[in-house]
Amino acid sequence: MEFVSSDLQRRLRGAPFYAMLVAATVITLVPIIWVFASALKSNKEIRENALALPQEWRFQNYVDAWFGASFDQYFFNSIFITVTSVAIVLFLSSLAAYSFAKMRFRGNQMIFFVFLIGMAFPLSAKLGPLLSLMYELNLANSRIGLILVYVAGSLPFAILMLRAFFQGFPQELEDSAALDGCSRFQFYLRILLPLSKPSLMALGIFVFMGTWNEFFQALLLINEDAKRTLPLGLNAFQDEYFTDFALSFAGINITAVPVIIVYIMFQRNLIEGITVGSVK
Amino acid sequence: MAQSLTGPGGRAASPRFRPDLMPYLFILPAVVIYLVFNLGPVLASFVLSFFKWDLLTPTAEFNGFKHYNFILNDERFWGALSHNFIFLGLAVVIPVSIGLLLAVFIYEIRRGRVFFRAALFLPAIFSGVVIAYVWKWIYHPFAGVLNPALELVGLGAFTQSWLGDHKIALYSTFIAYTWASFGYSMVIFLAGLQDIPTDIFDAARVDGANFRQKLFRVTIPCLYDVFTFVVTLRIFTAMGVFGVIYILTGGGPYYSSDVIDIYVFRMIGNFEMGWATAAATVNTMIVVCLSTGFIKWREWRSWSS
Amino acid sequence: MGKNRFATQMQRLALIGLVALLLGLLSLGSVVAQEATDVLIWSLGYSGDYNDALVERFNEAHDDINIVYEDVLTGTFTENNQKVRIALENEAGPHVLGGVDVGANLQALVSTGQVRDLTEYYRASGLIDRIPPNLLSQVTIEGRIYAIPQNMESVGIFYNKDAFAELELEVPTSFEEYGDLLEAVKDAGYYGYTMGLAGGWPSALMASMFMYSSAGSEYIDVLSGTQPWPDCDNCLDGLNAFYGMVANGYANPEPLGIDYDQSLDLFYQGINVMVLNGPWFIDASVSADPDFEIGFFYLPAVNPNTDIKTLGGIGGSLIVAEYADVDAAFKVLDWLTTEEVAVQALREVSVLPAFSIEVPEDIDPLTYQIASETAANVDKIGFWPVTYLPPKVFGDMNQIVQGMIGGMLTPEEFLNEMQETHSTYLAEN
Repeated sequence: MEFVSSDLQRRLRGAPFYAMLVAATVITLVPIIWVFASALKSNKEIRENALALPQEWRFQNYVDAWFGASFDQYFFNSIFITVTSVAIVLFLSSLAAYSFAKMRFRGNQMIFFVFLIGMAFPLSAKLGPLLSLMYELNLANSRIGLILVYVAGSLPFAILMLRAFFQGFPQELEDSAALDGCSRFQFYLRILLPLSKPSLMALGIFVFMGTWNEFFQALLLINEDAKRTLPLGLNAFQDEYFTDFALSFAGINITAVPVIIVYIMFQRNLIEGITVGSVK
Repeated sequence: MAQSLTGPGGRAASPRFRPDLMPYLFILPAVVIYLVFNLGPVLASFVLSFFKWDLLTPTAEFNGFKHYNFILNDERFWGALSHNFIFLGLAVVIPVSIGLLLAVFIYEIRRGRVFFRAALFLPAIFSGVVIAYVWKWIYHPFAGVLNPALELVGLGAFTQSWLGDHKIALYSTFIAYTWASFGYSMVIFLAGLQDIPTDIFDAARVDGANFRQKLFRVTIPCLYDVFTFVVTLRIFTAMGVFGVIYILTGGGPYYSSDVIDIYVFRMIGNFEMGWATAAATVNTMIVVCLSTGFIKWREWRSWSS
Repeated sequence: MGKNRFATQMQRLALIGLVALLLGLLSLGSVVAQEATDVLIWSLGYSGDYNDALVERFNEAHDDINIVYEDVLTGTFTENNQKVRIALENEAGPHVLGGVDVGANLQALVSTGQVRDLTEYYRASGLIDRIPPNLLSQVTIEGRIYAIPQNMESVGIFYNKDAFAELELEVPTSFEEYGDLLEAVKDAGYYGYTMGLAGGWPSALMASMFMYSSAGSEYIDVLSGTQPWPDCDNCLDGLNAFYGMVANGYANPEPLGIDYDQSLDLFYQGINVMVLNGPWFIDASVSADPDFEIGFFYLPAVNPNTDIKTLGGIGGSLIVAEYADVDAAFKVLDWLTTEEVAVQALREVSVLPAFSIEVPEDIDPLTYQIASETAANVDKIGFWPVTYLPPKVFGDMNQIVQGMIGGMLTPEEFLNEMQETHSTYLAEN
């Protein structure tokens, strides 16, 4: 009897919180739902009543945006650049973090600190020379060039995060591996990496999101339609098609849907990646 | 790869104390990429701001503080900077408080935590470009949804030229920024809350503390370090805001929503590299001072109390 | 448990990656596939389909030269100029480049020494007799000719013929009559002037048009920095005329809330009955398919005493990179300046070529009207004036025009602020 009443009490106490949360969720999600609904409307419907739901679902808008406005190409570029960047960041940062966390060498602290200060600068601090460097190296307007810039930008955080994680590994693990005749690279590959999968996963998703969404550097370094990533493509597309309301909404959705899918599947990893800095 | 890295002697009895090249080899690729494509350009930006630039090629001609002289006398530079500070002032209050409250609400409920966290965080996963275009449509004067929606609920007096009015354009962009950023604060606070031992809250409840007392006397003090992190994050995003404003207003009308990164970007686009690097350097110094100053201040306060 | 979870996630990730890569590869296959190059062409301004057809025809007709056309200049005005400058500087760009702006932009390109002097080519090919002298002067720097004007544009008012008939309005012949027309349109509940000034470029261009059509060549002196902005009284008249479009309620609401493309939608919807635009608007309006007929007239000059009939000029010109293979590049120029290709351009892209051709009568009536009027008025058409401003000052001018339209600056203050911005820039460079 008492259990029931205390349960009821607790539920009642939670009611105002639910009410607030539902209200906040509605306000947060309405713009997204509206954009999705509008992408299925015709231009006429959008002009005449922006708030109404679509009368019939026009998936043709998506087809037009995908094939008519090179979103297929942008999509490929984004996938290629993001997946490659994430793979390189994970490999290089884990290698370096292992060294920083577990090996003693002259300059360990100092070099690590040099990586750390990279996190303190705003993005605009490097853009002028970066642009001219990329042209010098013939890497401007190139997907490889953008990948290198993204990798360089993600390394400090990645190394910081993985170093902290590797430091928590017991030294005995490495010592016994060494006794078994395991080289440090083998230890890294066979033991450290498999044991760090959750961290690598979180980091990977975090870097994935950041790279997929990046706009500022891409805008500066890419100005060729065939090399554009999705955010750049959406930006250029809007310049061209802003009067085509429906197509414009479809373009926004094509850019947004991949991140929504990744987010739904890897929500926990992403949030872990975000919160890892706050909780030591 | 493993072969070449281990090599002869790689399997020494006490690898930890033998001076060898292995640790350096492990960090080498990361160091090279990082130096060439990240830190190097930052340092170059600083050095080259004192030199005359010819198109994209810096010439050897030393220019002293001439670029700085121009930048610091340019009212548009100060205008852009002041907008960053307005953004910063609002950003450390509004998205952070919304995030904190929502985190507390989610913490207080039993069922649906995962759902609410996921739904409320959703806007934060989008590219600035997506966020900007969603809001560009919301604000659109003729096909947009905000003005008709306001009229629908009887708030017709609040309909605005959201992006075309120089008095409110900056704040309109801030609303879009808030929509996309409170989620970050929320999940970080929530993680912080879940780290606080539950008996502290139980004790407060036993003492009969109400929601407000609990929030201000228990929750917020317990989240001291988390606040430092959240606010530092806001310093970086508010001082470095670019995509949302670039797309929504391009800094206009009449520079009314201009910010430093757009200012620098515009300079680079016009090949005014000297001014661009000087402005970027001043901005960098301000951001570094702000963030490190803030973190030091927080550390000092937590020691002294 | 952790391991299982990870495995499932990896499977999911692999699946997404695979699907995405497949999609991407499929799309890539259709886009890449390019062959060895002899002459690389970049161009901006025209439709890609049209250029593709041209290139195909050239390559069929020539065994020794293969044109590779890259549709890379797809960014904004500033982005494209930036890209062209960097590409030429790094010798990493095209051999022949189309759509280049004359004025300060051409001068900047020539100043780096990367643009070939075409004076001899002009003489040898006879092109020098086929281009009107006033156009030629636009591509001549210190006595040498560096570019071939591709087309000749003039800007005017496109109007909603149905609405004009309904309201019994007539095409104006002077700026006073234009004012009366705007008043009548306003009284009938429509807007007469279409204005969308958000975004990068239209503000400076629009304000410039009015100042130029009032001050004439005096305005060019202002733009080149030899005359101070506030001293140009005629400029002020033109500016007041432009400001009057908003102040008198002739322009659509929210001129600062929408960009130029969005403002065109108001014309298609029939809310605005006139829109100031160039010949490329014909194609745009055909694809937008409004349910009314469109007419065209020249916007009368603000000051009838100027020697300018209307604004327009060279829409873009061809240049040859210094590092290009001269023989091959010149053969391409020969081809691009043939009468046949020129007529084709007029037919398909509604752009009148800059070199003498007979305007064919079997083209769309609106295109015919604009092309004939442009051809007849070649010597009275002003030039895109803002290309004389350095890019930074041009960018600033956009914002300052917004300030005036938004009521933050009076036209007089506008001129003072332009003077300060412009003179500071010139002093620093």
